[in-house]
Amino acid sequence: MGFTMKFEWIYTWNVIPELLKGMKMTMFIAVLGILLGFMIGLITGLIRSGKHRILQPVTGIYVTVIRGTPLMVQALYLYFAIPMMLQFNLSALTAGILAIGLNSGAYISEIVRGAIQSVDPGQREAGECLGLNPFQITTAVILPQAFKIMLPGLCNQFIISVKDTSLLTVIGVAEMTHQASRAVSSTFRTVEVYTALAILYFLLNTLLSFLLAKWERRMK
Amino acid sequence: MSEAILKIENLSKSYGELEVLKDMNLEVKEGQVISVIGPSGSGKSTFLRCMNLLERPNSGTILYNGKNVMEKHYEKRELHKEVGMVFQRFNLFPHKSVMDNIILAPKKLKLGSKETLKEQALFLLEKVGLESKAEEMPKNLSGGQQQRVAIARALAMNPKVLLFDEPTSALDPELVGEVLKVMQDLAKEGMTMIVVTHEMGFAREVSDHVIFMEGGYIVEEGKPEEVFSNPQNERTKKFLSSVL
Ligand SMILES: Nc1ncnc2c1ncn2[C@@H]1O[C@H](COP(=O)(O)OP(=O)(O)O)[C@@H](O)[C@H]1O
Ligand SMILES: [Mg+2]
Repeated sequence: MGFTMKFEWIYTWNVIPELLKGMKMTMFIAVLGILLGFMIGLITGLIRSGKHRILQPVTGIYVTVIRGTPLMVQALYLYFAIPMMLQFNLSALTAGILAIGLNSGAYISEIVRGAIQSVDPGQREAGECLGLNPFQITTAVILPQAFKIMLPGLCNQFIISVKDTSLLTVIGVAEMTHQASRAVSSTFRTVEVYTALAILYFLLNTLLSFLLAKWERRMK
Repeated sequence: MSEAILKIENLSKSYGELEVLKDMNLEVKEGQVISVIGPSGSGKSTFLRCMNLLERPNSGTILYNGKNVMEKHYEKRELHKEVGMVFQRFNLFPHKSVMDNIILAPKKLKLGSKETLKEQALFLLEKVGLESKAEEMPKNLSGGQQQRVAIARALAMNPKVLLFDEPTSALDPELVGEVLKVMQDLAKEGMTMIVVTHEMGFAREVSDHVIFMEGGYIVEEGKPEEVFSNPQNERTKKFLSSVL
């Protein structure tokens, strides 16, 4: 356009209510996504630390594929490609939550597997020598100890997933980044709006880090 | 003569190329206390761990009460319910209190109501001299106390045989005695025990039978008086002179 606009804070300020609506969506997706991811990660992590002939390699492939592709591609694939191939509709929101869940699930799987492997093997042996079955050993002896080891990794993954939701803007989920882009296209105040967006992400994640760190300390 | 409660025949075990146990034979009668001594790396732990199938032997037979536990479809959990184990490093569950360490397995295996099991646990704690520590977490106990809790935990399953793998080797010298005392009491009560140990005093005074192992073989065995006072094998003599 050939001219630059002067930065005016009022536009940064004014866009905040709209962005906060998006933030709610961001948190909604992140929380549901990470819960799903935790379940997936726990189950696949347990399988991967065992030696099942079929499940073990299958979950291994899942982790490798997810870690080897970008989240944005995973979201596009889930939202556009898979429904097209299988002839069904998926809302952008559902696809977004699934994407975050499947994506974080692979990383959590690694966290879970690492934590389980770092529990002293003598613990399993002690359980075995007391006549406990593998399920009882896992749930009563190994997992409570592994959970403590997992905590920092899980908290870290949660923060990552919150930030990752911004990539879901490509499938049109009304999360915070998407709201910001819409505000930009209606006001043309690119710098002011994206400044507001950056500040809000920063504040949100700082607050979450603080709360998670507090929770982590309490769990120890 | 009573039947052997545990009988091991021609047992051998390798890790890859490394032959750790070569043709081991042992007969354990009810109420017997057997000490296994020998230099480090001679296969004592592996031998003990094979007895309760923590390690799978490559060949041989293990008869528990006449039943071959190495049979393909034998459920080794059944053996673990009757053959307990005490580890060098205690292996208490760090996230559970002393009481919960003791009642965890009996509770999961539904061996009694919670009240009965707690009562029994307190009785066992009294027996090992720790009745006041029921609600402590393991990390707040000394090594000697932790090992005594581990013994109480094993006893809570009402085992027929107890295996000890160097139960005092991880302890400060001044704490060894309290654990040996508990083991001696158990021996007196007629518990069948197989003890891998470096405590020659215990092996000599408490056990009925001593086994000297080296290089995966039983080099010499017999009554403690015989093995300690009049060892026949040169290697036994050499080992004993290095530790006594
Ligand atoms: N899991 C294992 N894998 C490979 N080698 C092992 C394993 N466990 C023990 N060994 C080897 O077997 C031998 C006997 O070990 P062990 O039974 O622990 O001896 P001890 O208890 O008499 O010190 C040692 O050479 C040890 O390195
Ligand atoms: Mg050993």
